[in-house]
Amino acid sequence: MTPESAVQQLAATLLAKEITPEVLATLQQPGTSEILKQIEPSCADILDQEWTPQAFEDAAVEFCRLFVLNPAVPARAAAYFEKDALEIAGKIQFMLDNGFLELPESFQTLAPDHVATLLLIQTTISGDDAVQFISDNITPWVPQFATSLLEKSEHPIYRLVAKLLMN
Amino acid sequence: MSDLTRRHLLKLGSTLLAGAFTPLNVSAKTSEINWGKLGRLDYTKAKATPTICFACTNHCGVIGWEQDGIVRKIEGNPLDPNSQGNICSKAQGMISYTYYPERILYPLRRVGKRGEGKWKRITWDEAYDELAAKLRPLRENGTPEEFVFHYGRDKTKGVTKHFTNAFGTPHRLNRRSICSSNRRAPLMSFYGRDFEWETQDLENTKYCVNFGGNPYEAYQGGLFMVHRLQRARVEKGAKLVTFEVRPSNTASKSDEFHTLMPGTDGAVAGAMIHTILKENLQDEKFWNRWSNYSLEDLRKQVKDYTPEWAEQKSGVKASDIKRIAIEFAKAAPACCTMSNRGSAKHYNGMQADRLIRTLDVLVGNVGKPGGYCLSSLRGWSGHYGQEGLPKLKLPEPKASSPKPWGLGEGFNETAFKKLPKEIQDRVNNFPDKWRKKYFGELATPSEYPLSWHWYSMRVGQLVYPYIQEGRQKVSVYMSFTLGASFGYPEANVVREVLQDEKLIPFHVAIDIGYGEQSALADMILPEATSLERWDYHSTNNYGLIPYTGVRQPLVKPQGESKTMPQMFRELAHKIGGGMEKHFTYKDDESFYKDWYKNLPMEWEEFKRRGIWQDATREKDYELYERPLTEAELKDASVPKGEGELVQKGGKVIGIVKDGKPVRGFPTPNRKINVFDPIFEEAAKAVGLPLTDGNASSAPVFHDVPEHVNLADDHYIFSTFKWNVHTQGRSGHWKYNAEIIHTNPVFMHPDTGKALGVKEGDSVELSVFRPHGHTYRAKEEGIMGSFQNHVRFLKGMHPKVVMCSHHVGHFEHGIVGKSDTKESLPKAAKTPSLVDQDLKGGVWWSKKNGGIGGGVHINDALPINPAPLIGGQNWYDNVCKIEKV
Repeated sequence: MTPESAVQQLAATLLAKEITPEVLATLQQPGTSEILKQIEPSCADILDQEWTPQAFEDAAVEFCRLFVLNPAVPARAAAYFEKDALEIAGKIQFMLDNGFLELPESFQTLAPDHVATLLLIQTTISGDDAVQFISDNITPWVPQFATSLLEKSEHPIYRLVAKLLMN
Repeated sequence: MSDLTRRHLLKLGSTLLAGAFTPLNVSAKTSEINWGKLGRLDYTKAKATPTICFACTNHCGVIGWEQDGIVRKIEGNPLDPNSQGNICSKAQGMISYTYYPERILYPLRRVGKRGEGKWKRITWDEAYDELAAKLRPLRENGTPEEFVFHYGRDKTKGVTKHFTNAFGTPHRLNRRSICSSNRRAPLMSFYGRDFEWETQDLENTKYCVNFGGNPYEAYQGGLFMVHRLQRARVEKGAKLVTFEVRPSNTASKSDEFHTLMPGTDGAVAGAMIHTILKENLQDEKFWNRWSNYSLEDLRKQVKDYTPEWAEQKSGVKASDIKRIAIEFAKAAPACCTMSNRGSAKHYNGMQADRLIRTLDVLVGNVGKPGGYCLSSLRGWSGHYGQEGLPKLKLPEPKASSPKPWGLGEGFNETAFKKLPKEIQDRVNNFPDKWRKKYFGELATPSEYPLSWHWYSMRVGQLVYPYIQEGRQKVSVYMSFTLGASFGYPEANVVREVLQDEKLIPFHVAIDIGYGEQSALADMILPEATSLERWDYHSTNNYGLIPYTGVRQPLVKPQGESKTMPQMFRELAHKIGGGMEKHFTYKDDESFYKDWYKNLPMEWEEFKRRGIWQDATREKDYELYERPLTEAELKDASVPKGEGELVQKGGKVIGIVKDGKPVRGFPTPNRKINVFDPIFEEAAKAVGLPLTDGNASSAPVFHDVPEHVNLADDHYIFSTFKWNVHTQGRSGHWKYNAEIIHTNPVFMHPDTGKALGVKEGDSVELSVFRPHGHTYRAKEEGIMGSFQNHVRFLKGMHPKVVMCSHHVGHFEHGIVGKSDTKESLPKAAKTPSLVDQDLKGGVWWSKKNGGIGGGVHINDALPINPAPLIGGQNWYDNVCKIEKV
């Protein structure tokens, strides 16, 4: 796996599910947390401190507000370009149904056009396939998603994710 | 991103790989996929699966085209004998609500205050654990009735009842009174429980008189009726005459459309009866053979209902009433009536429909070709008219019904004694037949015994005020695809109750979308859509040969949504205590396969066709004249005398006619009950004065109390349905909302002139409480009001103004909400979606130069249940109108 793919998988993980203690531990790893704080300085406090159950719940509520219920920043292609998004969703669903795509458990119940799924797929391909995939499925909407996420997120972690995606 | 460089990211990636980050296990063979544009639906690749539409009450057989895991198109299923391959625009709404990006895909738990709009995702296990922990003690402590299940749309054909029965609660509440109980009661009184809906033979009719029905636009069975009626009109010259208060689609397309005053359909029907008798055009033989009422008594009953009298009441010319009555009778038996909300949703609607139903009996068209027919309606488990059909039954071990609260065996003393004394006294004075059916005030409201005399129609609009009044303690309230806090009358009361955690300690909402009801829940469970699940389907066939169909999934449920059978199966196992014994099936398909096991068709073939019918079966004409079979007569006691009843095992199964045992009608006396003492009996039981028309055992016209002496500056405010929408369920379906997204106040230009308003002006419409014997009647002052813009429509009755009730949502995302911030109640705090397609609001939003979304009107409409039956009198509202 390339370093770029690792970053992308981290972003996908944070967009697929609420922050868990395991994911937080990854973010708080010495070295990792230092770079993350450089990327998004507002993360400093939350990366340095131990999270209370309330902190996890606050992050989960923000996750729900941003991505799940009447999402402030919908994480699905369908919200950005509906007809083409149905095609993306269709193809991902086709891959899932026919054994062309196997996803980790926490990704399996995401809508097929979810940004996390697309980012994850992107990490598995390279060369012309990757160029084609990004051009068809990522470029048309993920930058807009990231801009919107940076603007509307009230939690530093999701501003961090937005910045990771914007590069 | 000035401070973020590629170097940072590479460093981050390297650090992640060197540290604790475990790469995710993903495998994707994207090279196998053509990522270019998919383009149009490719029929050579797409898979066609028959299923049943769920977008409205018709339930047409449809074919869904799925390509690459996505449903792309809905077409009609030509094998469906009811729809015959026709569908309407609502069917495409199923795609809209399956794929819209604001759909609820995960179980959610409220975090902030109820209604605050703060949620978090939870797992199904967490949801079940919490729910089971709240439900289990109710069952164990002997208070299962504190679990209240309330549905808006339930086509699981008994799965939910199976659950509430297994739990032990009688509270499986519905919305029948909101919809149609006023018009169902007369049918069940006339023809028996099995026929709560008629099936006119419209394909063969010569003359149809329509009292306020609107099948060309919105009507249970409307689509099935209309294409048959159109064929009869175009190919055979049949005539359609409509009495309506406005030029509905049906009225506009009728051969004759007569505008009439709201609530006077019964007067016109009464005058038609009067005319037919005067002209001696009745079918005396049929009447005497099958009616329980003498012609002489009928003559006396309608002697004052002259066409001139009816003209005074209705505004329809006496000469037209006379002519139509004569034409109708002369077309018999190939003639029929039609009626629905237009005639029935009034204080006098139940009796109006009894008069309309009497017309059919009088001319002897009942069950005849081209006439007013009755066809198998209920599930196939051996009911009347289902002789010879395969029996189809919910396969699980049946849970017995809860014990009644009335006196007698199984007396639920604890629950009964919690009721106010006045109610206990009323119930104690009920006849045994009702005491044995009494299950408390939510399920069987004692002031409305006819709402549960035939079957449990309930009085849904009183559920919330009754909870507020303390008539029933609720511990867990479960709403299922219910939009009461938007669509019920005085919806603000619904919201008040749902907001009050003392009245509703826990509210779990099961739904597809985040509407006004789920916004006031503590937990939301995501349901699979109709394109993702199984259902058993049966309804009456306007081709008069029964059929059954299967709703089947075209795609997997999205996200973590689940079907109701799956949810209830899993929840029952979590609750335990014996509930699990009733939910043993391993998956939905095996459950439904078992349900259909008696069909004479292989399961796979049934799935391939989606429909089963024995097309060689005799049509359902004159079911009542059919001789009882030898098998039916075995062990039966068959008397000799004409008109005597045939009994078997303590049940009446037929009647002797011409010396032979025939089926008759599925009523206790096997006749058509034009006269029914149940109305007077119910009135006496609840203290309704016998002078009130609703108390009459014979069909009678009586005025809507608040319409008498209507002031010059008062009008009647009524609602209606559009052809592209379905109740309050479709305002957020994008494709449907694009067509209709607003609900202006329609009025006649002359009305506008009298009010001094022009088209497009804003008016404030203020509604008063009703008079008569109903909920909070005669309370003075304005009950509620709203502002909206005016549209003129010639053909409206000049004393009537109307709005549709589908739009004006304050939840349900950006499409549902449109641009209605001005009328947004404070409860709505959820953020709107930013959708590229809908960026900056929908194209019809005011800020985009459009007309804006609609206005929510239901807070301004009073709860107004008809006496005895409890059907909401949607069309009686008296209002005043002022220019804003």
